[in-house]
Parts: sequence; structure tokens; C-alpha cells
Amino acid sequence: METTLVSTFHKWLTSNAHAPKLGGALAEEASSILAHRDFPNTRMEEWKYTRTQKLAQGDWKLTSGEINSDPEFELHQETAGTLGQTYFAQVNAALCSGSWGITIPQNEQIDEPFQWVIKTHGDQAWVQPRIVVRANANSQSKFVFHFEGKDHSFCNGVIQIEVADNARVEVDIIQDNADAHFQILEVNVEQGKNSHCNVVTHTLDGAWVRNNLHMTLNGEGSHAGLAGFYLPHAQQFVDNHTVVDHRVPHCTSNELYKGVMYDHSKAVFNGKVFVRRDAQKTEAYQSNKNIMMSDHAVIDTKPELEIYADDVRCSHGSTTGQFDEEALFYLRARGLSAEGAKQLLVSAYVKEVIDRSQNETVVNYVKKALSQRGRIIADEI
Amino acid sequence: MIEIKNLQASIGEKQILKGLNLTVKPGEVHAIMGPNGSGKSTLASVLAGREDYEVTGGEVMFNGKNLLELAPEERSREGLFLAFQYPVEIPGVSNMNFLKAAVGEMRKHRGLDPLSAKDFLALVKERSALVELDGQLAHRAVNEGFSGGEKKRNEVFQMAMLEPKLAILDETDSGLDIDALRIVAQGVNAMRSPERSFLVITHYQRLLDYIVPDVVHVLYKGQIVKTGPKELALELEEKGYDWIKETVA
Repeated sequence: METTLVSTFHKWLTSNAHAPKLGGALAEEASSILAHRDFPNTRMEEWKYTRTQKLAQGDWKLTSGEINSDPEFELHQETAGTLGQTYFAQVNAALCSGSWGITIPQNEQIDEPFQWVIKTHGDQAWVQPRIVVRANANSQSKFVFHFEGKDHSFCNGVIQIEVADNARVEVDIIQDNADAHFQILEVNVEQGKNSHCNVVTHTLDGAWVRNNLHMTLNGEGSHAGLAGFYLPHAQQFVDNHTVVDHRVPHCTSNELYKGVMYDHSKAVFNGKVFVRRDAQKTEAYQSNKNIMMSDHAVIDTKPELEIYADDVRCSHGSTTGQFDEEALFYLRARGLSAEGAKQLLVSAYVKEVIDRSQNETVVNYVKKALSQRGRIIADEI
Repeated sequence: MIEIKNLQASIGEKQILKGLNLTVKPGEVHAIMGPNGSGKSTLASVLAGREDYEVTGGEVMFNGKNLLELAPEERSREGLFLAFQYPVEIPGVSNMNFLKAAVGEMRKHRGLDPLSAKDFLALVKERSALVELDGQLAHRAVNEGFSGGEKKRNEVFQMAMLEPKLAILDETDSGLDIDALRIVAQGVNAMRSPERSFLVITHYQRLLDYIVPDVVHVLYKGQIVKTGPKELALELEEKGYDWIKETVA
């Protein structure tokens, strides 16, 4: 284990020396930093509950993967965006497999969502996509990032979104990962004055997922929405680390993550909310709820509030439990099987999160996918 | 319809039903009255399959099947319906989705094709009218934010949707004002038929003015201690349960 710490990146760099990648100034800067950074491990606070050995041991082969966008975008010639703080954001910058940029012009209101479907298939396949969005002042736009991972593969994505003054951005992330796929996704949102950004993370299946969602409120009167659900089963692992950073006064944030834990699955929720000294009149709400469907599932949940201003309204809460036995009996007494009754309760439970998405197509897609997998019963009437 | 022989049941260490015998034939309405703590709700819960109770003896045959061996959902599909004394609020689960699932299970069990969305909605409209249930309630979450009267009407509405062979009404009159009582009874009466039986569990005679029983039983200390025609309810109302206690003692 010790030997893999600093040397892991070097190993990946060497074995991908001839792989097609973008490079550029940002990539070089990232490489030089990573040469001295330890590989994330459970001794680090940010990775306390997340085992990374199998990821570090992987002999990943960088490929461009199968990435489709609608509409189509030109690829950047070199790695775009900013370096980022986290280890894997920098790994992405150093060995970027494809980088797209899009700018929504000022005052444009675009109803049709921009979509990316990012597939990572095949043993040892390693895809490192990078998408950089700038939504200019007064614009409105929607984005969908649909990840599909299979086999023993690894997708390490970065999405950077800048939401300018008075702009409105809706983001849906769909994660549909099977087998021994590893996904790390870093989403960074920077918001200006009176802007609105809502990010909903739909983890349909999460073989091994680590999400870092970091939203920074830099302009007064802005709002950040964060929502996500996870329904891991078998041995699946889903980790959501979120940060909401209130830097200026009069901003609001609302965060809701819900989990349904089956079989031997494991999940982590760590939500940090910072309210800086100047950020008076902040309203920040955070909630994480988990339902345990099995005695063998594990959830580590850790809400964290750091408040340095004195005139704020903030709350956070975390609950973990089982379904109300009385409700289950009521449903069974009306003819629903124990399984069907639980499905109906899970449907209602998860629906609260799915419905936070403002993209009707995504909402319908997600409900249909979950109902086909027998997790929920989709509304039919 | 249902034949209960020497039924004994307990919760924890406490024995509540102590050898209960009762037979209900198709089309009959039986009332079960009794003082608080006599075992009325326990009987309803044991018949519906609530797992908190342990059956320690006796047998229950329901249309030729050993009821006590069936899971709660199997009992329901076989045609047993329990109208809860305290209907459960289930936030987020729409009444319609729930009913569609319940009706679907019932029809599947009876070998019937699933109802089309159109036929289902028509049935909802027809049956909710029986209990004057506002159409909007059907679209809300199960019992969430319903008044006491609305919850009980929703129970009878569900009964009407599921068309059971035997309906057990567990103190359906509790917490109802006189208008709600009349509406609930009207719904029940509309569902009376020569094939359908009812077991009306109540503390008061009042409900039986509206749902007129064929037979009245008095339950006391876990046993049926007196059985008579509908006039027995009136006699009980007049003389009070102390009369029974003295008679039995």
C-alpha cells in the first residue's frame, strides 16, 4: 500500500505515455503537482470511509471512450478550464482524454437541454472527460450528463460550470454503472449575483462512485440547489461529498440527498456548508436521509456546518432508519406483497429527489429506468 | 364464509383471546360489541394477520382455507378486508397508485385481466361517490392530512374498490360525527350483497342504527359470552356493559 501512494500517478503516467491525450499548459502544471501528491487513502479526512486500493492497483489504459453530445461540440485542442483542488481533478487535467467547452451567450434562453452521454466500457478502459460551461449573464440553460460505466473500467470526469449574474442553470447527472466500474466525478459550480443553479445527481446504479460537488456562491442573491439519490445493491458503493460555500450575504442553498441501501451495499454522505463571515442573511438547508433495506448495508453520513456569520438561518439533519412497519402492514393488508409494498414506499421516498429535476425528459427516463429494474413503481396515472 | 374455532391469541405475555368461537355465513352482517379491552381489535388484527399477535391455539377457516397460515396480503387477495381503526398516513404514496397496485393484485389473484386506465378511473369515480369522497382526495397521498372522517370514508372507498368477500370494520364509527357516520354506513350498505359478509366491530350501538346487523355478539374477556338478534344491541345500550359483566360473573 505504501508504495502506491506517490507512485500511483507515476505508474499511470508511464503506462499511458503513448496514449492519445490533450496536454497543454494546464496538463503540465497538473502533472508537476501530482508528482508530489499522495494518492487518496483512508488516513485522509476526505477519504476516511472510501477505499481506494483497488482503484490505485488498476492498470488503466487511457482511451477517448465513447462520448456523444447533442448537439455536437468541437473538442478543445488542449486541456481547458481550471486546475481544481482535488487529486482526481488534477489527474483529469494531467491526462485529459477529451475536453469540451460551451458558452451560453448573454440573455439567451435555451429550452432544449445540452446532453452528453459518456460511456466507459471494456476492461482497463480509462476515460477522463472534461466539460467546461460558461453561462453568461441573464442566460438560461439546461445540461444533462449521462454516465454509463461497465466492466473493470474507470471514468474520472470533471465538469466546471460558471454561472454569471442573473443566469440560471439546471444540471442533471445520471450515473448508471455496473460490474467493477469506478467512477469519480468532480463538479464545480461558481455562481454570480442573483444566479440560480440546481444540480440533481441520479445514481441509478453505482458499482463504485465518488462524487465531489462543490458549489460556491460568489454573488449576492444567488441560490444553489443540490439533490441526489442512490439505491446501491449487492456490493455497490456510492460516496457523495458536497460543499456549499456561502461567501457573500443574501444567498440561499437547499440540499437533499436520499439513499435506499440494499444487500451488502455501502454509501457515504459528507455534506459541508460554509457560511463565511460576510455572508449575513444566508439561508442554508441540508438534509440526508437513508433507509436500510438490509441488515448488512452500511451508511456513513456526516453533515458539517461551519458558520462564521451571526445572522443566518441554517439547518442540517441526517436520519437513517427502516420503513414504518405500520405502513407496510397497511399496504399488505390491501393485497400488496411485502416486496411490492416496499417498492411503493421506495417510489415515494425517491420521487421527492427525482422531482427536484427541472428536466421532464430526465425525470421520466429515470423513473422508467428504476421501475424496469424493479426498484420503484412509476406513476402511471 | 368464516368459521372461527376456539381462537386463542396473545400479545407479549398477555393472553387476550381465550377461546373465541364465531361463524359467519355469506351475506350476513355480524356485530361484535364489547367493553374496552375485551379483545375486539385483537380479533380484527389477528384475522388480518398483524404480526404483533401470536396465535396460541384454535383455527380459522375462511372459504375453506386455513386463514392463519396465510400472509396478510394473501388474506386480502382471498377476499378479507380490514377497515382500520386508525388508517395509516403514508406520505408521498398517492392513493391512486396504491389503489391501482391493490386492485391489480386482487384481479390477478381472481384470474381477471388488469383494468385499463380508463376503466380503473371510471371505477374510482363510481366507488368514491358511494362515500361522497372528493375526487381530489383520491389524488393525494394515502390518508395524509385527511380528517378523521375522510380517513374512514377512504377505508370504505378502498373496500368498495377491492370488493371483498368478508369486510371487517374495526371501530369504523370511532371519531366520526353523525354526518360522517351516515355517509360511511351508506357506503357499507351499498356494498351489502348475498355473497358478501360483514363483521362490524363497535363499542357503541349507534353505528348499528345505520348498518343493521343480522346477529349481535358480545365479546368479554376474550370470549363471546352472548349472542342474539339485533335487539341485543339496544338492550346493551340501555343496560350498559356492567349488565354483561354481572351476567357472566
